Amino acid sequence: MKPRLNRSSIMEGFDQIDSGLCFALSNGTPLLMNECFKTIAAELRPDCKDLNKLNILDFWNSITEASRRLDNLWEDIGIAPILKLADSYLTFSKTLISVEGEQVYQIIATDTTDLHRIGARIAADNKELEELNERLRRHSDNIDEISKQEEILATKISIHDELGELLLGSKYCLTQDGGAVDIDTVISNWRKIETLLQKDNSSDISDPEKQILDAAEAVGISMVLTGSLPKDDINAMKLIFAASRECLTNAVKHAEADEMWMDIETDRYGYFISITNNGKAPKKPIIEGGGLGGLRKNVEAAGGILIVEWMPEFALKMKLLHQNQHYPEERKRHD
Amino acid sequence: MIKVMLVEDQSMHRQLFEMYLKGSDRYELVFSIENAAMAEVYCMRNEIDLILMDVCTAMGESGLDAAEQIKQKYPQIKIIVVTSMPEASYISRARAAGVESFWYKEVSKEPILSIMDRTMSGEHVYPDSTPEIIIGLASSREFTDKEIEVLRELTSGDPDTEIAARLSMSVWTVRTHIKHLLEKTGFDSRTKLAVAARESGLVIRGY
Repeated sequence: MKPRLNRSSIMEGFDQIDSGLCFALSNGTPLLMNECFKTIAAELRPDCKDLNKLNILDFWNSITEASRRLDNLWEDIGIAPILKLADSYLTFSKTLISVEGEQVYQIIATDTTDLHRIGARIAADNKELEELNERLRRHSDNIDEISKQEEILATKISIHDELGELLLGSKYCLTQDGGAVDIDTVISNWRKIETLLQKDNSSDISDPEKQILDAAEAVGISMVLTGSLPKDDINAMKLIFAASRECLTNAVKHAEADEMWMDIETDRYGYFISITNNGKAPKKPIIEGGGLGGLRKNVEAAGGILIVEWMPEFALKMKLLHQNQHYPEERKRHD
Repeated sequence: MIKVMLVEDQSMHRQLFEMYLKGSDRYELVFSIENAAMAEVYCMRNEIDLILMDVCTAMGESGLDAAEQIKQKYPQIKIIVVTSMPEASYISRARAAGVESFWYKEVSKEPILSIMDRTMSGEHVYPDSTPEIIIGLASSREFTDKEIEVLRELTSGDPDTEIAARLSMSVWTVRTHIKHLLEKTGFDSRTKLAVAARESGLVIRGY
């Protein structure tokens, strides 16, 4: 027998769908809603005694509005409103379709509980992974210091061994027990180790300003440095250090200068650095090779600005931002 | 006298080297600086025959990068890279930069003065290999070059997509290398693997 489709069989099939489905006129009057949708609507709108009179557009607006509120029963993820029930999630979508020339709204409510559960698990995993990665980054920073301390310890052990050997040699000499130990060798060794015993080991690294001034002095340049390097901002300090190195190279190789001025100013946005010298001015624009070119690349990558002037005299000017800072547009123009 | 510049950020090591040089009648320490980035400046107007160059120097500046620059501009200056870090790439990078010799501070049996003498006589003195490091259940010698590259970037804590972009690999290739590293070392998480690798000194980023 050939099966026949009729109104009842369509409605029965419609009710079998495990998603909520509703069609309504463009004014919100419901045309058709399946059992699943009725259950959902009844739960969400207990005030509505007759679901056939429920205005679907009002219903949609209430879903959308509620889903925007935080810490509510409703959540909004993406475009479609998401309804969070006690132990499940429903996702709603609304589409305007044309049926025999008439505009009809199609509302679908789909159970997305599994999807949300997976999404929540991924979000939790990602959060945990990010926390782990952050700890790993901090660990990497700390491990440098630990490695240095281990190196220092190994060096101390080495020095201790040398000192022990020296003391033993000295004892043999003094007690005349060590026929093979030469007194001149012992004295010479004591002189060698004298440096280690006299020096203060408390300060490991000298000031970066001193490192720059020492380098300038080593190549015969008297440098006047005003301001100080940002010691708590290692990236900015490295760039300023690199700029000073490039300018020292220029001063020696091209300008034949014997004096150099380096000014470092700080404002709430960042640092302004200016470096000049008393040498010969360039005769033409400076072609930025590996050194200056590399510096420019690094400065610009850090969001800073590098200007290299060649007339009336050589000057390197550099702006660097504080960490996580951006120059406002008007500030860029005025400066 | 052979004029020596020492690039070393730890005062105790500097003093130890100074002590060795003081005890020698062949070498004269002309400069002792902490930051490799400034080493090239000293070479411009000074007679320097030999540089003892640490790898991890002040402000995170790389002695290997500085050595490469100096060898390009002043090839007559001989350089010995001195380090206590067993980083897998340091020896090959030093060779590629044209550095004459390489000395491990704590594990090399031959004294530094002997390495300096041999280097100044024209020899290239390198260790046979990077010190073997045990990470988890694996020896560092079991890792491929690509696995070491991924392991180094893994210590950054960055997502696989960023690691893949930096290494010009696909994300899947990065994940495959991580999977192999985990299998070899026996660690049950990439974080444990990264921490162990970084602590061992086998992989160090930034130098």
